[in-house]
Amino acid sequence: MIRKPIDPQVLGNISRRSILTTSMGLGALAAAELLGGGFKAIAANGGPKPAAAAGSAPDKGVLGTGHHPARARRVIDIHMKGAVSQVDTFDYKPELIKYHGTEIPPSVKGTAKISSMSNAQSTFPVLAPIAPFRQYGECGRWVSDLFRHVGAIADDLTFIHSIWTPQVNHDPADILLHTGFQLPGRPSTGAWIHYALGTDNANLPAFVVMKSQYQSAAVGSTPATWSAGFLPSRHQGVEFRSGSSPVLYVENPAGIDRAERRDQMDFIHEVAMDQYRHSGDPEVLSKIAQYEMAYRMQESVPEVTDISDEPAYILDMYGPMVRTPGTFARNCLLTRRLIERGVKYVNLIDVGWDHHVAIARRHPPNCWAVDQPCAALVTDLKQRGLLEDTLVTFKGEFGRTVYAQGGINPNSGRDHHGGNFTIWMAGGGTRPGIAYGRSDDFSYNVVENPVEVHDLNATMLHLLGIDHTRLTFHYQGRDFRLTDVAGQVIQGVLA
Amino acid sequence: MEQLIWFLGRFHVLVLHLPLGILTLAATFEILARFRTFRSLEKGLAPLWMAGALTAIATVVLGYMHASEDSFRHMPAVEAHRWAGVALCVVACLIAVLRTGPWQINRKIQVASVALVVLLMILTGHFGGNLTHGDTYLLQYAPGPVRMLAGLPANAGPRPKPKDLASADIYLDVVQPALEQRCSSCHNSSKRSGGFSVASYEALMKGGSNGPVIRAGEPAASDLFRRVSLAPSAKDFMPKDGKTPLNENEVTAIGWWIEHGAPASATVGSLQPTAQTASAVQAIIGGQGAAENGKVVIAGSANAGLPTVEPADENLVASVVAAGFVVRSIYQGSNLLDVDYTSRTPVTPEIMTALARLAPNILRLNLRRAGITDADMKTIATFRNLRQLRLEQNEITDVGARDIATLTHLTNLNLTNTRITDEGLEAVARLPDLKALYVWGTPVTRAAVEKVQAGKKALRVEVGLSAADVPPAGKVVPPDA
Repeated sequence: MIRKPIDPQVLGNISRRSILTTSMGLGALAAAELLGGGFKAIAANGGPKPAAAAGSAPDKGVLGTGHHPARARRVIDIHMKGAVSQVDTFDYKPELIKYHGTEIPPSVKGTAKISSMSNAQSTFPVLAPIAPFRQYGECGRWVSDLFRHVGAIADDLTFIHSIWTPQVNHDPADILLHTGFQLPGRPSTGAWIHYALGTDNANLPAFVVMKSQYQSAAVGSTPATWSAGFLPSRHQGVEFRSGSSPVLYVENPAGIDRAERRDQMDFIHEVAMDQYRHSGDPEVLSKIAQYEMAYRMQESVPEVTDISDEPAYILDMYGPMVRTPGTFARNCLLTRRLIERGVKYVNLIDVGWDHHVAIARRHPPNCWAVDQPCAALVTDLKQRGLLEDTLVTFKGEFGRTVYAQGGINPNSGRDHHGGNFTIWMAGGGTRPGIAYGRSDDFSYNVVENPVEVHDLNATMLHLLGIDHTRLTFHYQGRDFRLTDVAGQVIQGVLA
Repeated sequence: MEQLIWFLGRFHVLVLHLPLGILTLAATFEILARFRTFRSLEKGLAPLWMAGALTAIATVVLGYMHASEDSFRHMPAVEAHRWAGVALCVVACLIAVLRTGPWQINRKIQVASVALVVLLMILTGHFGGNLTHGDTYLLQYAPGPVRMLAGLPANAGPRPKPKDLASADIYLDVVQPALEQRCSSCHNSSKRSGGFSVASYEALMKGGSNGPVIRAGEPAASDLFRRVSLAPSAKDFMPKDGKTPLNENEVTAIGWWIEHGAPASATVGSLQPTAQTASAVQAIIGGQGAAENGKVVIAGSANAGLPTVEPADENLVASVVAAGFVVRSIYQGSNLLDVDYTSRTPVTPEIMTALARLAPNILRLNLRRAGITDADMKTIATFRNLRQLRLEQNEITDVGARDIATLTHLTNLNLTNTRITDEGLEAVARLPDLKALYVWGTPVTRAAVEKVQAGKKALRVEVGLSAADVPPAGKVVPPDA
């Protein structure tokens, strides 16, 4: 009988391939089979011992620690699915007011292919920003009135105005940003980091995903952005839902108590390990690890999601929506609580930003719903001493066009624009109060310090202490990495 | 077609070893055959010379192909190598013809021709070697008298390794060795690819055929810096042809050197490096803080002046891990430890005692909400190497703060949601290296924080928000919704 929880460290270190490449090797495997011993004989001879779990050391990941000292220990990845309009929020271009309604100059627009949604338009008139801008902080950053709270903490933020993406549609751009490749199937940033560095808190998942629930949107999130890809599936992001049961099926059914559950799990593990000894399939171990995680989460998750111990003024910081479960504001508060407890990677997803039509009417409520919570999250982390080693990033999968989609009228929209967009970061060893890179006067092309999507991921790994070229996983005959075959650390944004 | 010729041409450097070996053997046999004991070798001479001549012809043909590559155009050293090689080939062919023919040859001519082959072989080899490795390669480590004979300045020997970062010379210890190692195989005083050489400071500043490559004070406008800092896949990237490029640290150091006017000599200390530059230079000159083979950039300044400690006892680590701690090295290969406690069970005094035995190794310690009290602070005061300490949400008072105030290396201290007051704040704020101090959620007053801040600019005290700072959230009314 297995009475102890399985050691995830042991689970993490074993794969079918590693069994064959241990000192015993294929020959020993064959010999053991001939002698009728199967895997037991290998295990007895110093090979991996999946069943012989000792203690309950938390999983430290394949690297155990960084290649170099880390500046960031945790990541908060805030994503606005559908794409924020950089022209109306963070990329200040005062000339646009003057050019409102006039055709975008051909020298700016160039001949690059644009999205098919506006390609058929006969004119491409400039649409002035839908809100006024003002300057904030000692750094004098210009931010639009759609993001007043974020503007107010501009001195803590690092803006990148020169990131661009080759992808023109939501899911490919989002998946590229989060996995380094535009098609689904590769591991996501959070999965890579979990795989590399494991966890600091064995009672909570290392990689949590939370989606805002209050909006319905044509362009929703895609699970490919928190997938484990070809990494063992336990590295996949764990979704927290709103409501009384943030993680589905984690609580015990009526009439079953914790001790009974434990007995039941021990029996299932025993059967599963028998299966593992025959098949050697590492997914069996993943499954057991997930059972154990769920068992621990039965206690740890309710404690995180119960916010009754938060003082009223902390709730007020996050704005009026925080009192409604499932909102972006509530998710920001829960993120802070997870980060405090050592969760490595939290992915916050807000949807419904794809405003091809009536952007002047539809963008402001979205901005209103995320502005105050984002600023509160950064401020709250800062006062708790957590911002110094937590990297916060705020981004969409691309930007929006400076020209109006559907002509200049009250229903003007903005189309997808990958040529340049703006993201911001905070904490975790980034240099606060700066803006890196520049777009042209029409916010249409990068003119200084272009940043590729891979550069951003390389920089994130660098801050976590990881050399992005040395974090690889061998699959289908080649070594894969998050940054594929590209990526340069953006030295200019490091503190 | 050109590509194919260049491809084949590169086999020159392989094939040339055949005539080299065969002709040396032929010359040796030629001499040995003069002695009675080895008279029988005489029979082998004809085929040997023939083989030598044929391989020499092949080598010359491949050599012409190789020399047609752009990078060898108009180089005097190529011409010397070419004509010495052709001469060698001709002489070898002549001997081969004479040897195979029916006629008797004058002994003196025999001796002279063999001597000529040997001489030409040495010359050709030497010129060729200079092409590949640069003309300072051969005598780089030669004894003083030998260098004098060659008209070179006597070697001062290798520069002594700089004692520390501040006294290291940015050009002589950092930039020059890096360029010498990574660039000089093409940019030396004889090969001068693109008319550029890194052989001396003067040559470096003079630049190449398109003018200077370093503009003092402006890394961005300096072609040298631009080309080494491009993505390796870029067309203009240096070095070319997949040769090992400069590493990140070297590129950083070169950029910084140009930024400071690209001096022929200046100590790093006198140029006041930023934390990032300091760690890059530190990694190049080696010593403490440099990761393996200098490849890794040490992020931030926290690395400078870290203590050197013995590896932690594995059994001790295991016992601490079994108690619910997460223990990691601060980076791979380091003996210094980063320790987290995230379990919800309070830490017992016994566990604290076990942890204390790891004290010299622990650089960073997170004891958030671990049930720590003032009594435990006596133990924590023995963690002499601590740099970062998290103690939030523990019942610690000013009594404990006084113990913390003895940890002189602390740079980051988190006391949020503890019970320290202004008195405790003043005690810990005196720590000399302290850079970040968090006291949100404690009875500490803003007046006391302002007083501390006024006296210590390098320290950032984070007092955070209180209920009075945050307006009530009001109703849920999104604009225009």
